[in-house]
Amino acid sequence: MTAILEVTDLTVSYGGLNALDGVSFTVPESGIVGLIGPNGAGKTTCIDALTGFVPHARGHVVVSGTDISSWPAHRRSRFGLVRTFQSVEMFDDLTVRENLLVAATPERWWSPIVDAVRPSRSSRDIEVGWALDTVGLGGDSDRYPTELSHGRRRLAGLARALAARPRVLLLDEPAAGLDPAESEALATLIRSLPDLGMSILLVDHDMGLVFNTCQLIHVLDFGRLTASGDPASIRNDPAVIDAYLGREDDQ
Amino acid sequence: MVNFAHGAVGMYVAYVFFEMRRSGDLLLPFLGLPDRIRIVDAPTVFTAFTVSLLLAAFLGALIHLAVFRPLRTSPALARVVASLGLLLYFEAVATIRFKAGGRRDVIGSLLPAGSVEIAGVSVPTNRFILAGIAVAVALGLWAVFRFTRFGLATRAAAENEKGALFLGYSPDRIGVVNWIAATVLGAASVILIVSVTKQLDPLGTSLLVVPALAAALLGGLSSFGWTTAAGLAIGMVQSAVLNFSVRADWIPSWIPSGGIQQALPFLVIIVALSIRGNTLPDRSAITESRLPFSPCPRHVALAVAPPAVLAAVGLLVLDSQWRLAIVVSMISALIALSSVVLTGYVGQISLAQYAFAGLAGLTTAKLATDVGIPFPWAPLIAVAITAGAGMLVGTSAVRVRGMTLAVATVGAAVAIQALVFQSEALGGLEGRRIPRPRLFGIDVGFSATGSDNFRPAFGIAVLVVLVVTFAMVSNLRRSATGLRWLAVRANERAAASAGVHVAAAKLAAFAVSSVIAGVGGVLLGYQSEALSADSFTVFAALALLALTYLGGVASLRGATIAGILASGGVLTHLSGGASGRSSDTQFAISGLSLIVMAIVYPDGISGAINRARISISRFLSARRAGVPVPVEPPASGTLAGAGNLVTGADRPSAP
Repeated sequence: MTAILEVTDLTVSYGGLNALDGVSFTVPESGIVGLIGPNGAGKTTCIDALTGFVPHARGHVVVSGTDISSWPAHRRSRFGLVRTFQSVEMFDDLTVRENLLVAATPERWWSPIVDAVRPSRSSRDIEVGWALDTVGLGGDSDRYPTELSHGRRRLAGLARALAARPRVLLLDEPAAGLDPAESEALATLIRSLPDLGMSILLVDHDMGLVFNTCQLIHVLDFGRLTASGDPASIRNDPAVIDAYLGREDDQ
Repeated sequence: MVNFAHGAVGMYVAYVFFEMRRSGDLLLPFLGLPDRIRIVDAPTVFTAFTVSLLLAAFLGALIHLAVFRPLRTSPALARVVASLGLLLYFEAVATIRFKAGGRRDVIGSLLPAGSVEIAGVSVPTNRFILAGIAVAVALGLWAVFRFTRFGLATRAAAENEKGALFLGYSPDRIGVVNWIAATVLGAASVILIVSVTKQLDPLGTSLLVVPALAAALLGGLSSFGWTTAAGLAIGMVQSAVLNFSVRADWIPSWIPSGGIQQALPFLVIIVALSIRGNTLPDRSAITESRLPFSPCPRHVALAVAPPAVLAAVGLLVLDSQWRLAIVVSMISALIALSSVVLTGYVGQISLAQYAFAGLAGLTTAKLATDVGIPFPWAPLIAVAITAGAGMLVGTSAVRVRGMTLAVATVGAAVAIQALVFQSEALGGLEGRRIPRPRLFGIDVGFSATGSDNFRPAFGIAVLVVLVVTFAMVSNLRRSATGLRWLAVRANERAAASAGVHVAAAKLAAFAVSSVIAGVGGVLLGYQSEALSADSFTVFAALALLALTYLGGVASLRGATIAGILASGGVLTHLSGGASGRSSDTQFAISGLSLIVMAIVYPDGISGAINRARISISRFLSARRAGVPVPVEPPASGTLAGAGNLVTGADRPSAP
């Protein structure tokens, strides 16, 4: 398998503190890679840095052979490196469908001029419908995000990312606040995404979700990768157990 | 909290002080209550100062408790509008109470005269005393906030009100004390400054807040030391520049000599902001509560037709004064529409819209008279230039947001006014005539000779421009561009993650909105046939933004309502004959109603109409069906305040 996302020496420092310290890993084409670690380990900072939300990140991010390290956030997203947010962050003034249209519609510098004369509205209905159906929100497309339950709002956030047709999808704690049944359904959904042509980097606290979906897991602690491997080896890695998972009888 | 009325309150108290020195009376700023209280016959400086500052303390506490405390969870725009309301009110009250105008006769010096020679330049002693007082006060404040429990509690409450509450501090009491301190200090400084400069007038003195905010922004709104240093530096450089630019030959003569001096605070703000800001807010950025809901216009033709037909009929049927009122309303609606695009759709608070309008109007005048470019081209070129200026101001919006941006745009407006409007080559104080427009051989100018002195043809032309612009803005709102703009308004980080070029979206909105404002300015020029610096004051811009907010800043209807309410427009014409009140009382009343509206109806008249319509239709359909109907989309109707509480509680906190 070739790597679709290659991260080399990713470093983020705030003041003298390294939130990320030389992190390197790859996400293979159509792979599902997990990133776990205790609170404050730098997981969200890692997603922020990969997607262009940290102004002074160092290191290299290569997607499909293109070095995008110096690109701004919106350009990375358009190139196919798309994230979700821990706290969902929907556009509350727009309906679910409109939320997805924002992500699905390409932008040109002349769009405001053209739109003032001839509004382009529904050219991306296919992508939007597909994304909504994939997460099972087809019936909620004309509702406002604030009207949805927490679980469905999370799915809407995921659908918005899907509507951008990502090559690599970065999921930031997609299961936070979900009940076990919702979490299980989400795992099934995530496992189906590679068949739709995308690769996944999954960051979550929900060990069940990560171990259930990922082929490869990286462990982050104090901004460094401390272990990498398949779920079985991570589960049994003594260093990981010490740092993060706790002993068997705790679980 | 950034309070644009800070200078205005100080200005009022300064008037009180000097009036009291003169007559011994205390003049209260409450319309409808007794205005004069006799304190003593011949007050000493000390008595007058004490009484004035007591009044300042009372006003500070009152403003906090009655205005800004109820607004503490509202969007930044609501607080900007409320502080504009206060500004309008104190301006108007000062004019009414003191029959204002500069009152040099009354202003006595408080600080000793005399001067000191430094490096060959003579510097008046009182400047040193003033600077010394500023430094001493800053040191005192720094010590209080650094070493006392109260200072600690204030800083805690500013960071996290709830947390401070849990620790047993009352954010209310802390707020009141700080407001009193700030207002007293502001008033005392204005009194001292006025006693040195001998210049006191309602608007100019109120605008002292602009350089003060520039200094505060340089201090990061948190450092007393840097703020004082920045304030002193700005003041010194301003004076130095003034002396310098009067003498230097290399500065082009078209730049007014006072212009660079007045523009300086703005340039300082821009530099400071571009060093400090980030193009995307960081993860910990406080998400402010939402702006009013922006309804998607559905039946545009149906919505635009009734007022347009009404205006057309009015223009053709009614008398000449009515025609003027309708034309003024239509032009105001156009300029208000530029705020709807920028502030309502994209969330960028701009107080420079009138400056853009003036820029386009005066450029048109210049091109048409001095350069001799004929009608359709002169205004078109002028509007294009204005779009460029709008984008230039917009570059500051790329890195700052909310209140800070509002401050930056006030600075921009003041700078444009100082550098461009007062420039002899462009505007000048004596004004400039604009030749009548002529299209395809038809005279579409406004004035005519005889009793019927305003011509309907011009009104119809304005109406056509207005309808076309409304249709285009409504197209934008419904298109992908509009969705992107609302996405930026809602959440810049999420918008960027959805592939929206946030900076480009803001710049495009600034361009579109300054084009609209520019068209409005050009029409204003053709309407009045002569323009001067006074046609486009910062004050007028503040008033119109406030009216737009009152109408409903996020909807097309809001712009229409603002146009109707605008001074000189239809409503003024209607009420002018009936009530016969002076316009200053009107200003005072509109200031107060702004504050009330910002607190009670954050989504404006337009939002209130929407809400009423929704509940009526719900009521009707419930009657028809005999069962309760499901609730309408909450976003379209909710009070921003209540809606925010709900969204805030719903939103999961980060684990």
